[in-house]
Amino acid sequence: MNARLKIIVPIGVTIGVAAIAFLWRGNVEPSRWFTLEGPRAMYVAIVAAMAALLYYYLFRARRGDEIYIRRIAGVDAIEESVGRSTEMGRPVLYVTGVEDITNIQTIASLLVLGQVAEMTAEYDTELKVANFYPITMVVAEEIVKQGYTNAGRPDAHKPQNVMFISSEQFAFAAGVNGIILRDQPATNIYIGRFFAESLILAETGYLTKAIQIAGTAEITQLPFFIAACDYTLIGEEMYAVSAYMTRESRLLAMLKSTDVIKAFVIALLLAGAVFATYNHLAGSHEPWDLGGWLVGK
Amino acid sequence: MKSTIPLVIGCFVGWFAFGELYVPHEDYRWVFEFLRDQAQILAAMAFILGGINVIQVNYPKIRRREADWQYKVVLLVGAVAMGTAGLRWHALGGEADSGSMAVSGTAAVGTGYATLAFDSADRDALVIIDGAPPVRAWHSGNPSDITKPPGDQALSVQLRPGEHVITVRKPVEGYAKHEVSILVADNEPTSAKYEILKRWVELLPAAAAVLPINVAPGQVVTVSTDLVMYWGAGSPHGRVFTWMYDHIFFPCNATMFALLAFFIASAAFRAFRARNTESALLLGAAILVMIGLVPIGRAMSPIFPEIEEWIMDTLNTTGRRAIMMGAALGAIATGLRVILGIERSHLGSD
Repeated sequence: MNARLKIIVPIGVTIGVAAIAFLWRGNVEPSRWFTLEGPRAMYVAIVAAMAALLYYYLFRARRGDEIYIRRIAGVDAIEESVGRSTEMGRPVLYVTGVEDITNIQTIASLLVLGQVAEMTAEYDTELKVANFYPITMVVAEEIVKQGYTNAGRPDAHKPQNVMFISSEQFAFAAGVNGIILRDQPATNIYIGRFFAESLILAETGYLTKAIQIAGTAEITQLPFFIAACDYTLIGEEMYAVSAYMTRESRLLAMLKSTDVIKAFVIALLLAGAVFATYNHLAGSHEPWDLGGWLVGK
Repeated sequence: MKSTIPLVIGCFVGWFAFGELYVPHEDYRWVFEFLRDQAQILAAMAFILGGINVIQVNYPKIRRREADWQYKVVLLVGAVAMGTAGLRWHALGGEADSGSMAVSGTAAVGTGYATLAFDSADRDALVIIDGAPPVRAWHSGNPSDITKPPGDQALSVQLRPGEHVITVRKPVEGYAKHEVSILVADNEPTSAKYEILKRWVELLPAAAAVLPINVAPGQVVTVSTDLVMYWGAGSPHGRVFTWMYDHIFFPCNATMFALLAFFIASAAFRAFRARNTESALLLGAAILVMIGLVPIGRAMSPIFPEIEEWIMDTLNTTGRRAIMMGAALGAIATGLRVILGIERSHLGSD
């Protein structure tokens, strides 16, 4: 198969799946083995479109095209802050959030942890990882070990630095505060899902004059992190960290595909605003229902 | 191979979980539930590793007398104490002794009300009749006053014809609770029937709570209880565990939460300093929202609540939704990255 076909076929197949799913919306009789009721067809269409875009951007990346990603100050600050920790001879504290490993924010946090571990291993800086759940701790330990191995320094990895603190919210906050005040880390990184303990951690970190980088998609906690931390990765930025740090073509391609879908969503929002305005002004008995049309009502 | 196998398993399970949305078949759901159960078992097993980690991290610090080692002693002693209280000691070696409730009756005399008498081994037991406020099983004249200590008089109440639900429990959680249903009939049961019922109740005291016990008017029914103390965490919580939770853990937890108020004040002070245009805008918006929410703002002008509502409903909601949509797309992309094996940084090398 020549190179052109290698890219055209997967893209064609995935676009076909997206198109079929979209055209079938609301028209497939639900059975015991398959249903496309409600917004399910749209989900398939989005995932398939994302996969098609992924293949397209992967093709472009392999061809040597440059994939532009805007600068994310918070991610750039991670390397700077690890360097600062090295200079000060103080550890880096990484908190993986207070959710179980089944939560996508925790998964994203653990992916970033791998990069941070590699970086601290290269800089020969101590990394302490605080976990809310034991299962997260087990995975985090493996990831940190792998990060140190990738950096060529497996001997520098200290398993006791990946800690299970507590599965109780404020006991966890008290435990992490204790680490912050005793060990005085020069860098505190909070990435994952956080709740009321976010400000308790970030304010304690502020008292120790640490550089603080936070990242969460939890809307209610973002203002606290923005107020108390030096850098905050807002929502989707947290999911982009891994790609941004590694600059791996596959991850960048995925990021670009997400951006295109986002542009599509923005276009839909604008269309929705136009439709809603028309319905309001015209007062039609049969309003233009964009949402219903999309999910096949 | 070391990373390929987890990659394949991750890919398969990821797509299988995605398919759960589209395949309503019960067999598919059974497999899905099975996988979820396995994940829960795995997570529960990880708590053992978590406990070992806590000891591995803290015990060497105590031995080396590192900074604040005393707190780590408190941590380990607390963990052991809570763990010990969390075990169901009363259930070790067989079925837990849940106490007993014996019902006996005198020969039927007369008609009208039946008499319910209590002979509880627990002096502080409370009795709830048909969901009414609790009364003391042992009192000193006024059984309704449960604020006074128990007395020497056993509770005796009149039950009118009909079904009654009697609950006997301790004033605090962590003990066995007994419930019995008594049916006061209009007609008198035969003595033979009553004897069978009595024997059955004695043999199966727990089952007596389920089926109503027939009692004729004029009979005296004596309820004897032994409300044993439970141990452990779970349902129901044991007494020692509940006490430790309510009197040690909960106040500590509330104290930590209360700190948040002061942290909010200090963080808000820093955030609202007008250092640049954005900070000034933030400060202005915060002042308008605060004025719009407090009564004095409403008193000053009705425009302030309207401005507050507009800022919260229009500007704030717009920003929130934009972040949520971006985050949702990022979450989908991260999921796909892991499922498709594009993201491999969490896996070891081959």
